[in-house]
Amino acid sequence: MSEGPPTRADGAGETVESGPTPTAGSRFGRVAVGTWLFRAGVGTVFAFLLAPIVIVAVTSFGDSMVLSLPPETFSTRWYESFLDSSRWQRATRNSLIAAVGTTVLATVAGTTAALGVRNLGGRAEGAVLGLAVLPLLVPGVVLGSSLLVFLGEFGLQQTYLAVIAAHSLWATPLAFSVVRASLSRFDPRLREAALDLGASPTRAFVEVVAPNIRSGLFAAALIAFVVSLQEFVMTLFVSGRDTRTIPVLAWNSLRNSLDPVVSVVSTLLVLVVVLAVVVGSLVVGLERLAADT
Amino acid sequence: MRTVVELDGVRVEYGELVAVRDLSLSVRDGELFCLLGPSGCGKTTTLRTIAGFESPDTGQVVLDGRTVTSLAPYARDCATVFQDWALFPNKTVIENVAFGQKMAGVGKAKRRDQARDHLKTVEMGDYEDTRPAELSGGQKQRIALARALAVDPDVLLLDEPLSNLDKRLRETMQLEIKDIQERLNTPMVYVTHDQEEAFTLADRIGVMNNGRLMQVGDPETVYDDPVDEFVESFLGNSNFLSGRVVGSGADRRDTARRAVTVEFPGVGAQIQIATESGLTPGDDLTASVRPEIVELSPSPGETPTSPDGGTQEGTAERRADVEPDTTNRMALTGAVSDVVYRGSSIRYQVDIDTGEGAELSVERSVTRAPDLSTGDRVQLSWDTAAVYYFGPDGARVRA
Amino acid sequence: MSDVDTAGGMRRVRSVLQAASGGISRTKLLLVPLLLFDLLVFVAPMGYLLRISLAERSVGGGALQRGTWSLDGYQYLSDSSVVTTVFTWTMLFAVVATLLAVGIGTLYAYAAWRASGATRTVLLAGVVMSMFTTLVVKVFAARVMLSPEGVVNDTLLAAGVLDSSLLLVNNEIGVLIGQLYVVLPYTVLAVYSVLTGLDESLVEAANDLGATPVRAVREVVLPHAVPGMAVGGVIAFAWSAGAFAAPLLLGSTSERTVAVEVQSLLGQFNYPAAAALAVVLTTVVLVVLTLGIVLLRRRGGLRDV
Repeated sequence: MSEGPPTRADGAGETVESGPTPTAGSRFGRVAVGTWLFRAGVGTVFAFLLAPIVIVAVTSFGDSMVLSLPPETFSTRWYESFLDSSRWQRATRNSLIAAVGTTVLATVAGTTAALGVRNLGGRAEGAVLGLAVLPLLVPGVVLGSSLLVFLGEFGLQQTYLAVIAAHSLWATPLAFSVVRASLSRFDPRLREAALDLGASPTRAFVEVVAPNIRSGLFAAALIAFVVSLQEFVMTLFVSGRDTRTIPVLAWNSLRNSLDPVVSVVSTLLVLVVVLAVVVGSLVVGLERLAADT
Repeated sequence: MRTVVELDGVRVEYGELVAVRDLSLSVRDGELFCLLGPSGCGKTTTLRTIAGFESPDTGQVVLDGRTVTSLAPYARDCATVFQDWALFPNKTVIENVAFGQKMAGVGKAKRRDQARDHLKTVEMGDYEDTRPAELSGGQKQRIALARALAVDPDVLLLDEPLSNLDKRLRETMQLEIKDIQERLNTPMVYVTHDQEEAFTLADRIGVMNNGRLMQVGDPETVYDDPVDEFVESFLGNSNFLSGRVVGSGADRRDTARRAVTVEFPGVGAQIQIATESGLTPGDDLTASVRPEIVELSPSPGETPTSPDGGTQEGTAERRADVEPDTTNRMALTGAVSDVVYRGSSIRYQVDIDTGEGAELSVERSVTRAPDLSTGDRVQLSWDTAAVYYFGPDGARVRA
Repeated sequence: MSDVDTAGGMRRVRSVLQAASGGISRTKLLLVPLLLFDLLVFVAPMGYLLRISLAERSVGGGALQRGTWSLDGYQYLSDSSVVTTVFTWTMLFAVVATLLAVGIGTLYAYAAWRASGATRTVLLAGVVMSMFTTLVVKVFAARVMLSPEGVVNDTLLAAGVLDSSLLLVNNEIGVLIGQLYVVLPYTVLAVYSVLTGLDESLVEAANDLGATPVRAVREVVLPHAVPGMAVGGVIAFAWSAGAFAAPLLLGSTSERTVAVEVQSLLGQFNYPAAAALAVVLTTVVLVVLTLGIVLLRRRGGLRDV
């Protein structure tokens, strides 16, 4: 007790009350209120984050043309409207084409790079990482418009290729970092053992490395798929009437009028995402998914 | 005798750090060769260089007559048993063992049959379809061994495979490995930091320190005739006394021979050592007094202790200093500072009266141990000719 | 035995050939897909954009008027007061959005980290799902929520907190909230992923040594969280500076961002100006980010951003 308050290594001391003091009651009271305030705040943020999903789902079952919340009557007419619409069906097809293409491209590029980067020294590794991640930081508008004019030179604007390329700009860095994280948990001795027993590097990868980073590869592919499905800004620039994806069509519909079919589309999109996240968590574990991305 | 592995002037560097320097050794057919040394001495790097996971900056690696220095691991005819076994978790036991043959293109039925044979050799025949995760440490170790043997390697490389096991299991496995090695006559290079293990297993030992191979020989030779202070200190517990050469000249007993006078301030003694080694006054000299050559007895003196039990070896009173030219025995007195009971043996720490009061330790098996307790006065003596001396650079000085 | 020998022999020949090419070139080969991709789809187009920004306005056909060199594009930027106002506003907006996103994100990440079991899963699930929900949905839903007839206003009116509905859309607040929707999940995850490396018992130890809960957090958790906050801040700033959907849908014409302006210029086929603006925006964002990273690295604790 006579030693005084504990001091930190850099000499800054802190006055700490030890034991109950006359002000302890109010201090603890304040802390308790603080805790509840904190919890309420976090709860609000959580509600805030999930609100779009809820809203969109609810409005999609409304009956009238006016988007209101809560809807007056419950009806599935907008779902029927969606299924009948050729515009939306085309958009769905385009989205799927783009998503599959992106998944393949991003997973391959991301995995090979993650494998290759392991052997590089510090500085080279940093450079590759930087280059891989850089597209994520450039505003989507800039990426979109640069791709638009560049591919336009070759007559490739508004093609599926353009859309896949744009989506992969985003998906590849994510796939790369997920596979990298998965690889870091992989015991390099296993690969050495395979080589030692006569496997060539390719066979070692196929027989020993890939099966053990399966969950990472799966997560990477999943993320690439979902990223592609919901990418909007770049796609707005590079896609055309024939190749536009669901988010772009939704946007256009929204700009013009509050078309309730948009709610339907959004709900379905959200369902796909929820499904993907659930599947992903089951395979990899939600915490790891969150930590890797 | 055919040489299976030959390393010639191998040097391995990691940037600034030199892991292995100028190392040359050869392993003969059918022998179990142990690379022994403390952590960081380069023994694992040496093993990995033989296997092909490290590339030497200079030097050659020759396996069974073929120079393999630039070849990848999968092109070399050796197999490794890793310290943590590295069994493929996504394959069953039999798939693990058959892996090497699969890579060689052997058909499925045939390689599974061969794998079964190898599993039988290591007595794991019932575990074919188990996954590695379900096995215990000792079992995994056996599978790793079987997997390596299954590729019929020219030489088997083992990187401290037993260090993750508890003591009793380790000792059992040592004997099993030795047995397998003798039966199959497969040459093995075995890396360990455990001197007892090396002595149990090895036909020959190579002691390494700081990237260098200090000494190579069969266990008895290396133990009886260490060439370096490091080897001596690593191979057993000894009492090291530092000394300084204070004079040199002709041996008083035989003037045709040269001798040096050495002072050991730690025990306050000065002796003469006949040696042709060319030491000059001012040189450092270290003496290694092995506990087994030290005679220990309670000394009848100022504070009598209970005389019951214990054997009395030599009761003649001797002075602390030895006449340089008379006897060949060093005799010292001191007091017991600590008695450590170690199960089947007892270790006595004795503070020497004279000089700077160095502390010497003597170990006796329980049946031969004198009945001493802390504070008792004792006498220590030993034959100076049985002491190992090492010069300023650590090299052995023969007396 | 014989087929093992020949197989082994074949293996050896193949292996010698493979091994001769060495380990390093294999690494390079593995990196080719990514690097080639980045080169073709990122570096080249950006370079092209830069080139256009330094050319004259094209007449018909493509975006680039070949062979011309001019600073018309940049001239337009400095002449047009609209552009200057828009730029300033965007930067301010980005800073505010970043600060809010990092602040709220850190608190949320901390809560998730401290929570256990089900609560943590739920909190994280909310974030991950929000992250993967498309921009359009978020912004659209935000509009629905925040409009005068929307949920927020309804609840607040019903609870008696307000007398008349708050104007939450078509103004800065709406845009800000919308933008937070976009970046918040990323800041949360960025901080959370660093926090997972911190042992929770450290906070308890601090409490045990006499620190109040708040103090414990400040001394123990915060320093560890800083790298994550930096990463989150980097992302938040980059995207807020380039904000597009939120301002368009949730703001009025006085809340135009640079990104919106770029699109507008493209619509007018004024490629050099659009390109110039894009280049300036990107440069500013990258410079700010680099400065931020360098500063933080100097203060220590930032290993890989």
